[in-house]
Order: sequence, then structure tokens, then C-alpha cells
Amino acid sequence: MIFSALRLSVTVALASTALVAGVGTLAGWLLARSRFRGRETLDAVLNLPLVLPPTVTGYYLIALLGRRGLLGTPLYRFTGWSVPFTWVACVAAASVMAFPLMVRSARVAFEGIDPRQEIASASLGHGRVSYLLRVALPMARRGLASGVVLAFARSIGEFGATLMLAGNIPGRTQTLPLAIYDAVLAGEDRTALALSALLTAVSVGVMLAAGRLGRRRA
Amino acid sequence: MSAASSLKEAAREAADRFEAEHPGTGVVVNAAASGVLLRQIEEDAPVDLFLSASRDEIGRLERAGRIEIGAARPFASNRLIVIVPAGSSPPATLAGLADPRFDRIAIGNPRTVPAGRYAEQALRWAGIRDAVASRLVPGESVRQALEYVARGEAAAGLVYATDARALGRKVTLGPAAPEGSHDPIVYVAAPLRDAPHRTEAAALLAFLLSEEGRRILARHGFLPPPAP
Amino acid sequence: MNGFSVDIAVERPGTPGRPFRLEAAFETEGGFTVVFGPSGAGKSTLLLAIVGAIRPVRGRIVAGGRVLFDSDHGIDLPTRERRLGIVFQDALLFPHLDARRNVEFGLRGRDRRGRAEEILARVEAAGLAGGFPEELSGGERQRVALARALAAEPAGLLLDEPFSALDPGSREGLGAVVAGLQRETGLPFLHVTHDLGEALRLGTSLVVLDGGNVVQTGPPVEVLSAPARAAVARAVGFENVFTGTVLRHAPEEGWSEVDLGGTRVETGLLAEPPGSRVALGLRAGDVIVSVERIAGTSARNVLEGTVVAAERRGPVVELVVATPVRFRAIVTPAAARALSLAPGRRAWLLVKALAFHRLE
Repeated sequence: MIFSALRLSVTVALASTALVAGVGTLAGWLLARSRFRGRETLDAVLNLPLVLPPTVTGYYLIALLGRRGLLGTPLYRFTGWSVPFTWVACVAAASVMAFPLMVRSARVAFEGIDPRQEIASASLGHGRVSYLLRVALPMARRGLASGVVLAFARSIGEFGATLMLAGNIPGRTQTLPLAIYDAVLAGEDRTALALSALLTAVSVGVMLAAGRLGRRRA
Repeated sequence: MSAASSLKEAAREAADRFEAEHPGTGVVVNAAASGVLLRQIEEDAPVDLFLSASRDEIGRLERAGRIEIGAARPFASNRLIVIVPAGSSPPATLAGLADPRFDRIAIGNPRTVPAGRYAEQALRWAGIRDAVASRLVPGESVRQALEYVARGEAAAGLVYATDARALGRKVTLGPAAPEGSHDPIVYVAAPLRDAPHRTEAAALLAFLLSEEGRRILARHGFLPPPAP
Repeated sequence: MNGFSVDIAVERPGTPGRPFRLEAAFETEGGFTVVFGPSGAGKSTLLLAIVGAIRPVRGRIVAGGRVLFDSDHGIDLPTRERRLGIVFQDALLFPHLDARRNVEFGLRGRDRRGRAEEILARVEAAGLAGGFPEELSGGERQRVALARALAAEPAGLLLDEPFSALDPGSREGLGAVVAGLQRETGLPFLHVTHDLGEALRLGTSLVVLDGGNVVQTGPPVEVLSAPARAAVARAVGFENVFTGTVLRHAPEEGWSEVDLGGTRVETGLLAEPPGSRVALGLRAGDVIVSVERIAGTSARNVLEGTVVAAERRGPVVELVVATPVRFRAIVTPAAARALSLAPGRRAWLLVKALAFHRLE
């Protein structure tokens, strides 16, 4: 049980971090550059999972992805498959919770770049995509890396929304935090201790690796 | 008063009546899965009276010296019943849950929720425990298992008859688990030895066991406790 | 036609309720054009509009014969198609790339590395190839920025106060490099500065910008001796701005002789070797006007001339005296009346050597 929870947690955290890193970087990029109406509102909405209780976020996720949810209904009708109680639900919950951290880091990192850098890049014949890939991303890499670390940490520690959307099925959706919760409630203190120590060790390892990554010049 | 989540409404009503009869006394009802309540008590939560959905939790507290031996009183019993989301058709018998159309079957988490343990026993009795093992979705309480079915996330569930009644409109009731297919579901009430309000706890327990207490419980679908 | 032809109106947010409006129209024949004006005159806005980072509300921009923007014909090339190099005040190199890779960023095609090194050598920065921007001095960074701007084979180069963050020593050195590059490549350069000395040293033509308007264009010396120079005066703090050639020094005596273009003056001791061009400023209030030749004064310059203009400006009368180089002086209305200072009147100007200020 310990091994399967660890494996699931790491898989889920890696998957959601990868997803969040990609989408979050793009969202941060757009928020940092564009001045469209409703931008502040969009920013506030994206940040909601940071301030809402995870149960509320979990509830919205169910309303969206559940078998009778907004997106879940057509999905179930056409594929016969639904998100809740699958590892995809764990990834969805973790991603939504980690997303604001990534967007925030990315946005701050991109806003820190002098807008004239893009003028310089364009004057040298480079378009927007080339500027993003060859200038903006490398220049923002420290901020982005810290966003990725935060997202991973948030993902691997996600509990509330996961419990609501993915349930707590040993071997399938029971991540480390859920296994710890389960062990505590079942009075299995030694298992709870072992799992907690394991989760702590993984988190410390990630932080150390991230610190090393941040110090190295790209 | 810490009450098993299946008792939530009944406990609240009993508490209200008790308060009306004892002016100046307020009863706080803390409802959760019995296993959760047990942990809270073990962590020294200030609880006067514990209404558990099974003898096991009470036994554990007796062994820990937190409940006096002989103080616990069975006060109600319950049955398990098959439920399906409103609008879909329930199986004819418990064993009918083996039908693959019940791709997810919600029960209480057997590790922490007594209802889950009874459900596993019933499924084993029906001879389908292993067949449906991979389809079981454990809820953190009976109420969550019931919610899974009510929202249609699970195609069927095996929960207390009382809870199924409480959410009657959103689920369709199926067959009940036959008597003897699982351990008797007995609700046991016990005052805590180091209760902050011992006198009131004793009075509240007496009220639950009184005729009026029985009537309230019956109105919520609970059966009387088995004869001693 | 090799130069810039600009006729645009640009609006910027500015302060609330009072948007900043730039109306700029000028043409250059190529060569080294300096856009000069005080801070807030709209110089950077002008460059950003030319490079395509700001869209003018109307007008036309032509560089090297190519139309970059024309509101009447719906032409608005994006920056990356304008083929204009730009160098900013703070160089703005890409910090994650070393000098050579910064230059390579502007190159296309084969052997980018070799070509980048060649271009670096042309700006006397061959030894900096492996240095990251944070390891380079301000002057070194500007050299690399110049090399990078040249790498993309631009049709013209825009320089936004590229020397203003540098110490005087590197400023001179880099000025020579930039001027040399312009001659060598024949590209039109448009160089923005609020430093008059720099404008005079480098420019083959001068565009004076003030309060969002072009107030004057032409060769630097002409511009500065022409009448509409309130903006210039305000920018440098001197009503009189001269360009001259250093003739000789008398170090032990503490003076230098400078030819202002027909009028020779004695100034305080200058550092520039004889033959150098210098810009000198002189306040109108530091000039004493006499209608007789006066001897026995400490003023080292007694310049004979003719009053060509006398105009009341608020509480003072402003005189213009041709010596033949024109000097501006201010006197009270009472003095002007007592001395009958009117056009055609013969006058002598008394100016202390130390009243001439060398402009940076």
C-alpha cells in the first residue's frame, strides 16, 4: 500500500506539474503582456483555488467533471468513461490547486523583463514565438523554475480537492496524503508515521534539487 | 455529543427536544464517521456522549479506559440497503450487484466507517465480494457514499436504510441486505469517563433510551436495538 | 535616398487628462543625424515610433527609400520587417547569452559564429566574445549592443542615448567608434541625445526637438547660431552655444584660444588638443555691453561688433550682436535706452575668459 501510494503520488505530481508548467507559463505570459478588459478579473478567478477551501474547489470540479457535470456528461455519454475515481481525477485536482502558483510565478517572471527586450529582438528580425522561446523563457527561467517547484510541492501534497473528486481508493486514487489520512483514522499510527516521513523526504528532495537547479546557469 | 454521521438528523432532533426539556442546557452535535469520532476522542476532544454506529469503537475506548465497562447502552439498530441513482433501476437482490452495469459501487470506507465493514460482510455473504472488489468506491462516511450515488458518480451503493431515506428523492431504494448477512448494526451510546459535563451526559443518554427518544429514532427509520 | 524621412503625429497617455503629443517632421540626407532636445521633448517616443514599437496616429515614415509606415496607404510594417537596428541607453543585451551569442541572435545563415566574431572585431570588442553582459563594463556592453544591431544588416541604426550611462572616458572612445562605423557602413544613423556636446561632436545634421515638436533642423553649427534656439538654451542652460576649434593653449597662463568661426576668444584652459572641436556655452547675463572701446579691464575678451537685434522680452532687453559670430546679451531697458542700443549701433562686448563653459 505504501509503495502504490508513493508511486501514484509521484506520477500524479509529475503529470500535473508538467501540465501546469506548460499551461501556467502560457497563461502567465499572456497576463504579463496583454492589457485586455477583464484581465484583473481573470487573474482573480485563476487565483481562487489559493484562497478557497479545497472542498469548494473540489465541489466545482465535481460540478464540472462529474458524471453529471458540465463537461462530464458529454464525456461519459460519448466515451462511457468519467473522470471521478480515476488517477486522472487526482491529476485534475492537483493541477487546479497548483495552477495559480505557477501562473503567479510565471507572470511575475515575465513582467520583470524590460519590454524593450522584445523591441530589440524584433529589430533583429525575430517574431513573437522566437522571442518567447529564445529570450523571454530563458530570461524568466528562475521564476519559472520556482513556479514549477511550488506546483510540484502543491501537487504532491494535494488532499482536499483530490478526496472529493478522486475519492480514496487504495491502489487507484489513494495518494500519499490520502493514505496518511486513512492510516490516521484507522488508528494505524506507525503506518501514518512512515508515510508522513516518506512524503517529507520526497518534498525535501524536490526542494534540494530545485535549489541546485536554480543556482546553475542555463 | 459526537454522533455517527448516519445519526446526524435524529441526534439533532433528540438534542433539540432534550434542550427544550432542560432549559439552560445546550447540546452540540458533532457528526462524522464513527472512526473519525473515535480518533477525535482519542486525541482528547471534549466529548460528553458518544453515539457510535458499532460496538467496535466503544470497545476500543473501553480498553483504553476512556469508557467505563458496562456504561455503554445499545439504543437503536439499522439495516443496509442497496441504492441506485434516481431514475435507474435497482437489482432484484443483493447478489444482483454483480451485474457489470454497476461499474462503481459506493460503500463506506471499511477501514474507518462501520457501514463499510457491514457492507463488505454482506457482499461476502452474497458471494460477490471478490467479483465486485475492483468496483468498490470507499466513501469517507456513509453520507459520502450516498452522495456518490445521488450524484450518479457511482451506479449503486450499499448504505444504511436510514441514510437512504434521508436523501430519498435523489436515489432509488433497492433490496435490503437480509438479516444475518452481516453483523447486527447496533448503535451504542456511552458517556465518556472524563466527560466535561457528566450529569448532563447521563441525562441525555437516559432521554435517548426513553420512550420519547425511541420515537424520535423510529421516525428517522431506526429500528429498536436487539433484545439483550 | 539614403536617410530618414519622417512626418508623424504620435499620442501617448502622458499624465492623466493631458496626453503627450509628438508632431515630428524632418528629413535627413543619411549620414549621422543627431536628435537633440531636453528630457521630455519626445526623443525616445520618436525612436520607438520609427522602429515600430509605437503606432503613430497619422503620418509617414521612410528609411533608406523604404516606406515603413504610411497611414494614408495603410502601411505599417512590424518591427521585425523594418530592418532598423536599435541600441538603447542601457544596452539591453540578452543577459542569458554571452557577447558572441548576442550578436549571433541577429545573424541568419551559415557560419554565424565566425561572422559574429568579425562584427565584434569591427567595434573593437573581439576580446569580449565569451563575456556575459553582467561581466562587461557599460562601454563594453554598448559595443556589443552596436555589434548586435549591425549583425542583422539593418538599413539604418537608431541610437537611444547610448552613451548617457557611461563615464566621460568611455563616452569619447565609443563616440569615435560609432562615428567611424557610420562612415564605414554609410548607413543613416539617428542618434538621440540630450547632451549638446555629443550632438555637436558626432552629428552631420541636427534635429532639435522640444515639447513634442521639431523646432529646428540643419547642420549643427547653423542650427545653433540660428535664432530659434530657446529649446537648446533651456536644455543646456546657456543662451549662447558656440562650436569652435581649439587653436592653442597657454597652460601656465591658464587660458586657451578658440576660433568660434570668425571670432577668436580666450577661454579658461581646455583639455582638448589644438585642432579639436569643442562646444562652449555662455550665459547672456555674463556679457557686458559697452558703446566705447574699454581698456584696463579684467575681461580677457573685448569683442567689437554691431547690434543686429534688440527686443524687449519681459523685464529685460535681449540683444544680438554680430562679431561676426552672433552673441546674445541681456540688459535692463534703462541701460538699453541710455546707450541707445538699437540695430546698427556699434558695440563692444566684454566677456571673462572663465564665463565660457565647455559643454559636455
